[in-house]
Parts: sequence; C-alpha cells; structure tokens
Amino acid sequence: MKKHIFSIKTQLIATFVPIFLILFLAISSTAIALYYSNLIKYMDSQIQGQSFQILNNYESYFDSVIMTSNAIEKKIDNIDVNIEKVRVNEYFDDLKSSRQEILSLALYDASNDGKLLVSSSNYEGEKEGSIYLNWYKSALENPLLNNFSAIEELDNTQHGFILSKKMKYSTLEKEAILKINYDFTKILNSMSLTDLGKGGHITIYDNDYNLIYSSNSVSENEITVVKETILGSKIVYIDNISFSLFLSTISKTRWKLAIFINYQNISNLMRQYFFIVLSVGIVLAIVYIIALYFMASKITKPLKVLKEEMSKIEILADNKDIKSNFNSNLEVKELSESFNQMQDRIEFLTKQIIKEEEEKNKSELKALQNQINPHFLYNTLDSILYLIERNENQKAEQMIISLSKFFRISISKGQNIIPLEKEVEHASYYLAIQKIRYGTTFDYEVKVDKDLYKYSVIKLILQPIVENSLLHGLQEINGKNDGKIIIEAKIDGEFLRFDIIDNGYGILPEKVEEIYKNLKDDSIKSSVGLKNVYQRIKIYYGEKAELKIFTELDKGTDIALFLPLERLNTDEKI
Amino acid sequence: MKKFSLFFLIPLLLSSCSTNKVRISSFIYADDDIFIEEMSKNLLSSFHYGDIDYHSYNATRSQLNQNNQIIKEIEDNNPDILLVNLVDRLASKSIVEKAKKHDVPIIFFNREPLSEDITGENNIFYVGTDGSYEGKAQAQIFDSLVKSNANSYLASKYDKNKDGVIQLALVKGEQGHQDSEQRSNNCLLGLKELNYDYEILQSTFCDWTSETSFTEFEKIYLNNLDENGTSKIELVLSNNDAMALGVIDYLKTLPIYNKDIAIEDQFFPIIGVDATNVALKSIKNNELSGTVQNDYKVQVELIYKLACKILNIHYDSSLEDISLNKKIYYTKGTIITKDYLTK
Repeated sequence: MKKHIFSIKTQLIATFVPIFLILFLAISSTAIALYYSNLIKYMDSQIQGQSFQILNNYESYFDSVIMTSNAIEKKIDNIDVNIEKVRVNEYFDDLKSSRQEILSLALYDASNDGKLLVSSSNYEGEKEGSIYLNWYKSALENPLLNNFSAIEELDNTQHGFILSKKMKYSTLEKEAILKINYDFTKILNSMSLTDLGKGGHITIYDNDYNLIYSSNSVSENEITVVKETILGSKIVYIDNISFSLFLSTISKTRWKLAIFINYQNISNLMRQYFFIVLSVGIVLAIVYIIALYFMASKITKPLKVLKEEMSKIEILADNKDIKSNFNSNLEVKELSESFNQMQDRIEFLTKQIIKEEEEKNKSELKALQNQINPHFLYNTLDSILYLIERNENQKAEQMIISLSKFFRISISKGQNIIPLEKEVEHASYYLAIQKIRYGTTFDYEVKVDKDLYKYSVIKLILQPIVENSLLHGLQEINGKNDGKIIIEAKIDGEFLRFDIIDNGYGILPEKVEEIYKNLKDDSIKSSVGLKNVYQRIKIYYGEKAELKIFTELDKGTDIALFLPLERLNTDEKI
Repeated sequence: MKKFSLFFLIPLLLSSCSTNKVRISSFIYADDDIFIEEMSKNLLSSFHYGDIDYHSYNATRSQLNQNNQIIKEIEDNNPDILLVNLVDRLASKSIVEKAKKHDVPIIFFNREPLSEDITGENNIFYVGTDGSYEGKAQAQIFDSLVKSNANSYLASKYDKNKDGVIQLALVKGEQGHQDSEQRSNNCLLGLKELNYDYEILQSTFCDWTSETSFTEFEKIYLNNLDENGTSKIELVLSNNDAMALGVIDYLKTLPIYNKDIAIEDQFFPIIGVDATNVALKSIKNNELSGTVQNDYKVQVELIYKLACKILNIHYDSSLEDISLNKKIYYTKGTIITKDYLTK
C-alpha cells in the first residue's frame, strides 16, 4: 500500500475537525441528557407533589363526608326514627346548615318498600321508588360501606353525589338507608384553581369508568387512555399534546381520580433546548472549520514561500539570502535564518577551498617554474662570454637575441597560459642557443601544424623535455655528429600530443621504469625537468594528462606529452 | 468475531439462569399492626426457598403507596404472583384490573375486597378469617365466664348494677373493615343468641392498635363512671387483642389498679381476637379474659399452598386437596381462655 503524504493543511483539518466534532458531540449530548434528566426529575417531582396534594384534598373531603355519616349512624343507634321524626328532622336540618355542601339528608326504610322515614326539611324526595335507585341498591348490597353514587341529573355548572349507607337504629332492631345529597361544586372549583397547565384537568370516574365529574370536557381519547393505564403515573398523549396522567383510587369511595397535567411544556422545552444546542453547535463548527482553515493556511503559506525562495537560490550567487521579511511564523523565520547562515557557511567554505586550491596551485606552479630558469641562464651567459672572447660576435649576437626571446616567452608578461606557437618557439629558441653552443653536433626540426596554433597551453613544458633529451639522449654530443631532435605536435584522439624525439642511444627498460616511478613520487627530487613538467601538466590539466616515454635502444627515444583537448583553452580567431 | 459473540452469550446464559426463580411479592398495609407484622414474618419464612424470589412491601397505611408499589412491581419486576393486604378495601377493583392485564394472579389476605370486585375473576383469591365466627366465639367466651360463676348473668359477679343487662363497650378496629364489622356485629348477635341482653354504652374505632385504644378508652372509661367513681362498664369486647391490651394498659395506670387481682374481677372482662403471643401472656397473667385464635399460621400455610398450586411448584400430595375453583378461604380459630392454656 503506497503511503500517501498529505499536506500539513489536510493533516491539520483531518485531525482537528473530527476531534472537535467528537468533543462537541460528547459535551452537547451530556449537556442535553443532564438537562433532560434534571428537567424530567424536577417536573416529575413537581407533578407528583401536585397530584398527591390534590388527592389528599379529595380524600380529606370524603373523610369528612364519611365522618358525618358515622356521626349520624351513632346518633340514630339509640333512636327509634319512626317515633322521633321531629328530633331527627331537626338534627338533619342542623347538619345541613352547619355544612354548606350538604344539599339534603334522608332516611329510608331498608326493608319493605323502601319508604321515606324522615328527612331534612328541604328534601324533595325521589321521583320513582327508592328501591329501584342505584344508591339504594348499592347500600343494601354493601351494608358495611358508605356508598358514593353519582347524581344522575346534572347541569354543567353543578356537580354532586349521593352518599348512602345502611345503618341500624333503635338499638339495632331496625334498619334504614341513609341518603345524603352532596354538592361537589365548591370543592371542585377550589381544587381547579391549581394550575395544571394548558388543557390540564381533573376527572373523577367510578369503578366502571363512568364519568362522575370533569373540570374540562372529556375526549374519547381520554377514556381509552385511562382504561389503558388503570392505575399509576404515566405520560400520555391526548389530541397530540402530552400530559402527565396520575390515576389513583380515592380512599373509602369506589371512585378513581384522574389528574392530567400538561407535560407538553417539557417536550417543547427540550425541543427548544435541543435546537439551540444544535444551532450553536453548527455555528461553532462552521466558525471552527473556517478558523482552522485559516490557521492551517497561515502555517503552510510561509513554508510554501520558503520552499520557493529556496529553490530560486544558487549558492554563491549574489542575491543568495532568503528575504525574511515576508509574513511568516517564528519557526519559518528561524528556518530561513538558519538557511542563510548555512548558505554563508557553504560559501565561505567553498571560497576557502578554492582559495586554498589556487594557492596550492600557484605556489606549486611558481615553485615548479622557479626550478627551471637559473640553470640555463648561467650556461648561456657563459657561452656568450666565451664567444665574445673568441670574437665570434655574430654568434654571440644570435645567442643573445635567442636568449632574450627565450626569456621573454618564459615570462610571457606573467601569464601561465601562452599560445601553442609561442611555447614551440620557446623550445626552438632553446635549441637555437644550444646549437650555437654545440655546433654541428646536432640538428633539430619543428613539425607543428599551423592548425594547432589556435590552442593555448601552459608554458615551459616543451623546453625542459628538450633539455632532457639533449642532455641524456645525445649524451656524447661531442662524439656523435648526426644527433637529431624533432619537436612534433598533433591531435591524437582526445589529446593534443607533443613528441620530442631524439635519435640517441635509447633508455634501458629498467631506467624507464625508474623514471616513471620517480615522476610519480613526490619525495624524490631527481629528473627535475621531466618531473616538473609531469607534475605541472597533472595539476593544470588533471589526471588525464600524461607523459609517456617511447624508447628503442640504439635507435632513439620519443617523449610524448598528452594534454586532454577538453581542458585546453582555444582562441578561435587564430 | 468468536470472542465478540461469546461476550454476548455469557450474560444471556446468566440471565436465563436467574429467571428460573419464581418471584412472589407481598404487600402489607402497615407494619405497626402486630397481627399483620407476625403474619408477614411468617410469610417470609414460609416462602424462604432457593427457587423463590420473595419480596415484601409496606404501604404505611396509604393506598396510594400501595398502588404505586404494586404498579412498580408489575411493570418492572415481572412477578409470578402477588399477595395483597389492602389498605383500602374499596381499592381492589383497579388492582385486580391491572393484575389481570398483565396476567398476574393475586391472593388477597386479611383485608377482604368487596365480593363484587373479585367474584368471577379467575385468578383472584382471598384468604382470611371468619369474622362472624370469631364474633360469636367472643360471645361464647363471655357466656362460659358467666356460666362458670353463676346460673344467670344477673346472679353473676359480672353484672355490677344488677339490672340483668350487660353494659358493654365496643372497641372496633376500623370503619368498613370486614373483620371489624363482622366481629362487632356477631359478638353482639352471639350474645343475643345466648339470651343475653346488652346495652352499648359506647363504641369507638381504634385502628387495631393498642396506642389508639389506650387513648380512646380513657375517654370511654371516664365517661362511664357512676356516682361512686366506679366504672359502669361490665364487658369490653374488642375486635382484636392489640386494642384489648391497650385497654388493659390504660386500666393499669389507674390508682385503684391492683396487680394481684385479675382485671375481670377488679374491673370487667375484656375479650379480644387474634391470640397473639402477647395476648396469651396477658391471659396467663389474669389480665385478658379470653381471645379467639385468628390463626395466621393456618392462613399463611393456606396462602403458601394456594400459591404453590397456582404456580405449579413444590408439589406435595396435600396440594391435591386444593381446588382452584374455590376462591375464598376462611379459617376458624380456637377459643383461648385461661382454662385452655392451663390444660
């Protein structure tokens, strides 16, 4: 799998955007969850508290109703109601006036035809026979209980119920059914004052889910929901609004209380909160990504510029320093300063090397050149003197002229590289001088093509070799009369080749080996002339430059110089 | 992948192990009722088995609490059967409805739901005591007391004012409680059937507890003194022992109380119901005159057997005698007097 290298910008964004998203998700979901659970807890405890309170109110109310019934039961325990009608009637009237919610009280016979025995004064009686009525029947069926029944005819503003109980009177000899009509309205209205939220309401059902009372209109939905829940607390939906439903039995009655408290607020609150968090999150994310993008750009731009500046640089060029005044960060600034310093150092070192090389070369060259000159001068001057003493003034004059030209070229106004023609002339003048000295003992010839005159070579390379050939090649000059030296120059492959040929006795192979060995060896100082030339052509023309010795005993020797053409200066005008 | 699936398998296996236990939950109406407290302890030890997960809840006399406990149990814990001791007898219908919806059988005990709320329901049962029998037994206790002393009430030491009528005070348990009503009605009925005449001086409801009867009886006592300052009361009939003992506790605070004389001789006979351990001690000490055993042990055993039959666990040959067609079970207890104890 090829490893793909991403830019810093991409890496930054790819790292920090996910981190931000994860962080944000973690924080926001924790916040939402915490908020939600706390909100729910708070709401639920509030709702519970409210519901308990309401239930308690109802139960207290019914408790007091039952207490009234018990009081009546106790009272009539010893009274024969049939006989003491007036007394009971007065008692009932007292009760009615002392308790506002009592509408009427009555006692009916529990046996026979259930006729009315006695009642409070305002009592209007029942339309049909009591024994057919619910309150009568349930009182008979459950003799131990206070029975609560709904009042069947209700108008919308008045709510009430009937309490009925079977009780014994006249010291337990006889039985009657007590019936008390209660007005529920005041209690209910006061209870409705508690704030149950929009659409919140209280409903009372009997055990068979018949509606006894509701503070609001009751939808079909509600009855289904109530039947489904049976008991307890639950969140329900009626007409798409959520309510907290609290369903409980009311003690000692057989009725159930349903309290609906608007719960929609919570969902609304939660939705609101959620949207706020979400929007804030999105805005934050956008801001963050933009900021990150700019940050990343800000970091990478200086690097880009740096990169470009670096690639423009040529070391040792004049405007080599990186401009550090572009908008960059600390690291890039330091980087470009370091780069500049490095450049300076490289330049310095390079210059040093070059200088040293030059120095080395110069000194070597100088040293080498110095080795050549004095020797010949002394000898020639002596020869001139000798000629003058012998009155061979013409020859003296020639010798002086040749010598002067020789030295002129030797110096060549201080130049190290001279035209090939001049170098050849240099060697020729030397030979001319030597010929005058040694007479007809040798002859010389220069074979150089004019085509080669365009080349320039380092000076003083031919003469030392010629000198060497004269001295060693034509040793016994006095004895031999047909000594010949030929100077040749030609192109040989990649090289400019000089040959200095003599027809002397040749060199023994062992001697050739020795000469080669000495050439290459720095510590040995013999064969100064050849060695000097060899070292100089090597310094100047590199390793490819060569000096080779071709020899045949008794036939002659050819010392050849090979100078690589590529290193030669040329002057195309010539 | 293997490791991954193992990770899920183990808890599954473990959870299936725990569901082999049968979950039985009981809901008592209060724990300061001595009788119920003892019955509850007995239930706990009866259902103490390795394959039964038994839980008990106390409603602290609030039906609302009990409703919440029952709902929570049904919805969260998946019980196999509920044992319910109602706070408000009239609240049974909704509970039966809820249990029916989740298919959980109920055995009500000690506080009887209205018959119309439980008849016709297949999975609803009641185990309790026969209040009418107990009431009549109380009358019998008094009768034997009288008969062991004289030929007639008038001739007995118990008729203080010699009018041939029993001036009695009635200490009742609770308005609307079936046992309360039945015992009250039937002890009086029993007296009548045994040809006694009685006059109810006062009756009061004391919540089945000694503390309440202590304070209430003080009022009754002080309200029924004759010119000499002696109590007119000739008999106290209490719906249970706890309240009877409360009466005794009050009498002990009176300056005329003499611990060497039996209460029934210095004051009047006091007869209770339940035969709790404290009551038996009191009888031995000549304080309480008699009681009727409300044999909670028998009831607990009955509940246990019924539960086993319904849930099909702990098979025993005695379970063959129980038919699930019978929904209502009443136990009858023995009469306990000093004679009975000294036998």
